[in-house]
Amino acid sequence: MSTEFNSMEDLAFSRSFRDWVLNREGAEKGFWENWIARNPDKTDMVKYAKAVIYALHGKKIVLSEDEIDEEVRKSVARLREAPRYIPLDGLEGGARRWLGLRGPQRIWAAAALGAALGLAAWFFYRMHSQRDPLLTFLNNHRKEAMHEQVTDDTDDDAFNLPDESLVKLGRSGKLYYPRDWTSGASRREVFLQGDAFFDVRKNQAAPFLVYTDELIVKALGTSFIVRSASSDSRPAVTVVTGKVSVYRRGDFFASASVGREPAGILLMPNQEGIFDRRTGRWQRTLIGVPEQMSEKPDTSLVFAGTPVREVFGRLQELYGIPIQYDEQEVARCCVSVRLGNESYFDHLRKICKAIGGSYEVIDGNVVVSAPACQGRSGGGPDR
Amino acid sequence: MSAVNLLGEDLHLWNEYRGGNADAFGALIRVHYSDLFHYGTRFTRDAELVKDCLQDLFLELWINRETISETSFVKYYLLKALRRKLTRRIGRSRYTGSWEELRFESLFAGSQVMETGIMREEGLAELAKKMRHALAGLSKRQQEVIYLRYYMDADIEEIAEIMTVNRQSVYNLLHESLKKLKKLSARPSRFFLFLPFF
Repeated sequence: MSTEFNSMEDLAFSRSFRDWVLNREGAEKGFWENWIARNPDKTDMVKYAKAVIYALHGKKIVLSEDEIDEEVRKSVARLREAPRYIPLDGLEGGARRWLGLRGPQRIWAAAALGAALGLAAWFFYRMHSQRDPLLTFLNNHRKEAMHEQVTDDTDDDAFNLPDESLVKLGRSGKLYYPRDWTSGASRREVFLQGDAFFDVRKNQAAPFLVYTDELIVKALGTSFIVRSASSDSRPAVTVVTGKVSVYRRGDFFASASVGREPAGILLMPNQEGIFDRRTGRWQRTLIGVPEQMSEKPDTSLVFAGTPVREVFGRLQELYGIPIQYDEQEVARCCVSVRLGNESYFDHLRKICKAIGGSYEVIDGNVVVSAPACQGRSGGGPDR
Repeated sequence: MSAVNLLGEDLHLWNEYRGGNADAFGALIRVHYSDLFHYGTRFTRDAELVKDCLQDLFLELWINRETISETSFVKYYLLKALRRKLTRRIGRSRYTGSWEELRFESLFAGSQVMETGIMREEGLAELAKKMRHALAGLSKRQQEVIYLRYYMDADIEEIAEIMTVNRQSVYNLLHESLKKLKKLSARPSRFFLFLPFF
C-alpha cells in the first residue's frame, strides 16, 4: 500500500483509511494507528478527513447477500436462453446462402417471399383505407405543411413543437405535427404513433390534442405521457403535472358530430388511465411509484399533533392525488408523524398506522378509513 | 486482497465471458452487483426498476459478447452501461428533468450524520454536520462525482468515462466541491495546497 498521504483527499478517498475510520477493528488498524503516531503534524488533516468521511457516509440501501445471489441466478438463467449473437456481416452471408440453395429449398424460399409480399400489400391497402386514423388526420390537415418526426428503435428524441411545447418521443415512434401553428389556431393537434411525453405550453385559447389510433388526449397546459400501444400492450395515459382528459376515438367523434361534450375520463397527476380493448372500458389507477409534482420534492415532512385532515391536504398538494375520507370520522383526529424519503405509499402506511386506519386505492383515488381515530388525539410520535 | 489482484481477476473473468463462459459472467456479475445496484438506486427509488435494468443490461452484454472490447476497467464499464440504460428507462417512463440528464439523488440531503461512538473526538461531529450540509448544497453533478470518487473508488478518468464528460469538467466539479468543504475549515491552507489526483 502506498504510504504517501499528503492531503486530506488522499486520506478521505483511501479505502483503507475509510475502513479504519468507520470500523476501528479493520485489518489496517495497526497501520493507521502507527501512521498517526508517526505524523503528529498531520493531526488536523486526519481530523478533517474523518469529518469528510462521516459527512459522506450515507445510509446505504443494500441488498442482502441472498438477494444478490437470487438476482445473479435469475440473470444467468436468462442468458442460457438468450439468442445467439448474429454477426454484422450476416447479411452478406445470407445472400450468398440464398444463391447456394438447392431446388426444393428455393421453392420454399420463394413461397415465403410471396407470402411476405402479400402481407405487405395488405398493409399497404390498410394504410390507405378510409378508416385509417392517421390518414384521416392527415386529410384533415392537408392545407398545412406537416412535419413527420421519426425515431428509430435505438434512440429517443426530444424536440420542441412550433408552440414551444416539449415532446420526448420514445423509440420507434412517429409524431406528425404542422410546421406552423398560426396564433389564431383554435386547436393544436398532433398525431402520435408509439410512446411520447408531452410538456404542453399553456394556452387556454387553443387546447392541445394528441390523436392516436385509439385514443384522443386533450390538455391545456400540463405534462403527461401517452403510450399509444402496439397490439401487445394496452394504450395508456399517465399524468405528470396538471390534468388531462382522455377519450376513445369513437366517442370523441360521435359526440363532436352532434355537438355534445364527449364522454371521457379526467386524469390527475400520478394517475394513469388504461384502456382495455376487450371490455372497451377505462381503468383509472395510480402509477406504481407516485412522485411529487414539484421539481424539488419535499422529503422531510414532520407533523406534530396535526389534524389528520391537514396532513392529507398537504399530501394532496404535493402529489396531486385526491384523498377521500369521512370528514366526521377524522374530525378530531390528530397525528404526529415524520415522513422522510420513503415512497408515497409508505407515507400512507405510516399515517394509517398512527391513526389505526387503512387505505385503499379506488379508481385512482386514495380512500382512507379510520373509524378507530374518532375522538383520539392521534398516534404517538413515529420515528 | 489487493486492488491489483482484484483487477486481474476481473480481467480474467471478463475475457472468459467474452469467450462465452456463462459461469465466468455470473461470477463477474456477482462481484459487482452490490455496487451497481447502489449506484442505480441513486437515480430512482424504485429498486425493482434497477434490478430490471441490471437484468436487461446483463442480457445485452451477453448477447453482444463477441463484439465487446477488452477492458481492464470492468467495473467502470458496467457502471457506465448501467447509467446509460437508466437514462433511457427513466427518461422513457418518468420524463422528469431534461431528457439527457438523470436526477442523481442526494445521499446527503435530509438525513443525519451517522452518529457513532468513535465520533467522540472534539468538534468532529459538528464539523461533519457542517460538511454534510455543504455537500447537500452541491449540484447534482458535483454530488455524483463525489459519490463515484468516494463510493466507487473511481479516479478522474474513470468518472469522466462513466458520466460521459471530459476529464477537465470532472476535475473542475471535484475541485469546486472540495473548495466548498475547505471553507469550513479553520486553517484550511495546509490541506489544500495541491490536489494530487492524477
